[in-house]
Amino acid sequence: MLFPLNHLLVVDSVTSEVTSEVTSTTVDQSAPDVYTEHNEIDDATLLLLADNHSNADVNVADLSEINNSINELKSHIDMLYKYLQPQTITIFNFKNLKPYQSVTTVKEKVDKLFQLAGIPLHWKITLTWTQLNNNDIDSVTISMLNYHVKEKTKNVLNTFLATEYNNTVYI
Amino acid sequence: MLFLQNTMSSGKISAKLKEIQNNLNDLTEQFNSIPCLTIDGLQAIPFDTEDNWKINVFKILNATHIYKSWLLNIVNPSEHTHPNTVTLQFINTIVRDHSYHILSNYVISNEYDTLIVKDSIVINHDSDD
Repeated sequence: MLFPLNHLLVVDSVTSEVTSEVTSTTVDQSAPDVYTEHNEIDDATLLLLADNHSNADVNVADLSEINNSINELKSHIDMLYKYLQPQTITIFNFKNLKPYQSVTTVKEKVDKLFQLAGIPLHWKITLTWTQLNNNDIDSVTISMLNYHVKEKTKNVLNTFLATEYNNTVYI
Repeated sequence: MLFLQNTMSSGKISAKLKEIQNNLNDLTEQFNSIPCLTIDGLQAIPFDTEDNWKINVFKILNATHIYKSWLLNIVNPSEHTHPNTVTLQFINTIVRDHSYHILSNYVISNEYDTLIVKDSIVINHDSDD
């Protein structure tokens, strides 16, 4: 117990600028390495030591704060993941889209839908789809340029599909 | 000594974590923000007054080769039929910054002294997933 106490005295003495006086009265021969170790601690460390004024309560409080900070960081990273993950929109019941002359492939159908809804064609990147047993297209997943583009497209298409298809085709 | 070092380390770690947290806050806000340009002083531009305000804005965009597909929205905050200020919301900061550059040059080359282009952001509160 004497060992850390000596350290405390040295640290306090540094912050109050009376190092020599305190060390001369507190360091005894039974702990000859205390002053040497003190010299190995840099200024920043000393300031932090002085700030912490070490006792068990402060230590527990710090650990609790660290734990809270880590939890907050985790939730922030989850939020960031929302923006960084691939941005996709899936159109369900794709087979219910109205037929248009000379519009046959999935890409042409999606392009026509975008054109009618007033969504720039360049906002989409790739298309993937699932087929039913009778070869009808069930759903089409469209990967979009970025998060904001996806959100805008989702809003526009939701309104368009609700109006034109009464949600028989939906996102 | 070990006890003191542990205490010191926890303080230091806590401070570092706070710093990372602030950085993440900034980053999240950047991702959640829509990059914009505000154009002020439109009423001083000699547009065809018969035209819709949006058509007049598109005349500038066409003249500067700012593509419609770069824009998420064009907002008329005053809802005036011939607004003095409009906000262009862009799909990302790259096209916003590029548009800022070419719009600024457009203002200079046409001597539209009253036209002011400013960059800004709006925080997107609509995200729900």
